[in-house]
Amino acid sequence: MNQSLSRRYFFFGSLALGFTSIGCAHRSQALSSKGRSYPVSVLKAANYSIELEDIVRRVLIEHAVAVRGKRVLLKPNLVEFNPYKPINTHPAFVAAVAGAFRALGAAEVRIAEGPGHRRTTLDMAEAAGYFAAIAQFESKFTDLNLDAVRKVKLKQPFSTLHELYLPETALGCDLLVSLPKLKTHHWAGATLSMKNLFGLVPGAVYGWPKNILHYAGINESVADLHNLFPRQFAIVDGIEGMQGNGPIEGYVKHSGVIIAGAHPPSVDATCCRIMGIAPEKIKYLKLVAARSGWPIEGVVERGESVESVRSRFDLIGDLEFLRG
Amino acid sequence: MTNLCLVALAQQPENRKQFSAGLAWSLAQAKPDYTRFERFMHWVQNVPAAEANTSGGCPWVPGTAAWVAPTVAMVIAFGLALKLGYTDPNLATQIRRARAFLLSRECPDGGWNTGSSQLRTKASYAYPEMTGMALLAFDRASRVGIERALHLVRTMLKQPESSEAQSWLSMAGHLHHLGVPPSAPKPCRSVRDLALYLLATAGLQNPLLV
Repeated sequence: MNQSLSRRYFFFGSLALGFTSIGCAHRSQALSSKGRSYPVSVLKAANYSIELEDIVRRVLIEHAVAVRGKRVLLKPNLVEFNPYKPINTHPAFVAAVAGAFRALGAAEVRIAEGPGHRRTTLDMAEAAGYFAAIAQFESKFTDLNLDAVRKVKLKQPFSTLHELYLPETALGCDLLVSLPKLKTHHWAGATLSMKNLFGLVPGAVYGWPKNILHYAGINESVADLHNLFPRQFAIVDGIEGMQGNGPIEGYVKHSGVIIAGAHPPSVDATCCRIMGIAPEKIKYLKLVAARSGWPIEGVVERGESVESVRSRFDLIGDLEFLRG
Repeated sequence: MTNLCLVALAQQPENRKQFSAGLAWSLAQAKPDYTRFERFMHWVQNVPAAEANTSGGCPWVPGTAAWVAPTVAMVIAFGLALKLGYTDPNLATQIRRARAFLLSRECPDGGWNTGSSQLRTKASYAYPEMTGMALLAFDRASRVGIERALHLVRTMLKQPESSEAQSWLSMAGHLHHLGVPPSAPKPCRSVRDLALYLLATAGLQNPLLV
């Protein structure tokens, strides 16, 4: 352990000791609420060559997702040019999900993303393999960083934000489908279906990166964005995840799993358990739980058990406290 | 954004009143040196020492952290103001501080990422579009502190990732007289790509090259 890590451990360790009693009281309050449990599907998927579209179609039917005639917006996680590291949602995964929604009668299936660091979204999509995997990709894709925007007021925000400009494409869809990669995150602990919504915030308004969300509170902003989009479904690409210093500088973790459900916090909580992270230690999940009464530990998993697919992800030293 | 508007306004003498108002606003946004508390938080957060002590950058949104792209826009706008005859001594001061800010954020490979030279425990790596853009903030007469970056531009120009990257790198090449022969243009995928391509092919007539 180097000197700087010791310094941080000491500082935050002292703070943590001071706030332990407050945190415990907060957690007890959340868990004592009578909340609803949401089903989450956990499915094994060894690689991207298998019949992913069929798997996704079965998941959507199992969750009775209303698809026919709906305008569906798929929101993958497209972050960097590098096609060799597991940074971006795999193009075959996005293609399979798009195919499944079309097969079930969606009126429109669009793909949209607003990367947080790079402005060259389409070039990045091409480098990541999206053009090759998805026919006529460019005509089906919206760069949310450059989309028309509308001002939305935040009611009872968790963050210090009171309003946000958001893209019309996202606000106008019937169903927002978050397609994140199963990854660690060096600030939030894990970046999953809820954190993936940061890509909805337009760079043309807030810059690259969208630093205003960090100033307003990363975890609080994640919870706010979740609340702004009530019609969601989440399908997590956990076939190959990223461990270590995610979401960009980490390394591959072959997890061979897909996690899906209509309640993103429940999906993310299940993802955390699979990754060897305690979901009750992820702040944005705690915020949602405290506000809504949703019991973090009350997720109903379908398909594979978490134990059968658990795949302990390496965490950077500063985040080891997130272990379950 | 205001600084980019200033660059556009500076091209037409009849816009001088709006330019002056925008310039005054932009100057008023200049961040003071870091406070003791900010320095302490940088220490806690393992911010590299050079970055921890060098303010002077410009944020995307007032009140948030400073980043490379808006800082470069500020230097270009203030440089244009000096060229137009504005004599506020703060202009030169802020340009000097902004350049120090940029140099303190140079990545170990010699170029620039969006902001910091370090991402938690790992060094950041250079983005071609940011590297090209950052070099527009430096004086063409002096190459002190940017030699490695100029070398990196030569390398990046051989295989630019995108039209935008190619345009910014080409602009840096023009400004710093690198003499790199133009490579086959990458496809322009947006209006912004096309605008940057036109600016890049304008050579030293490009208003961003102050």
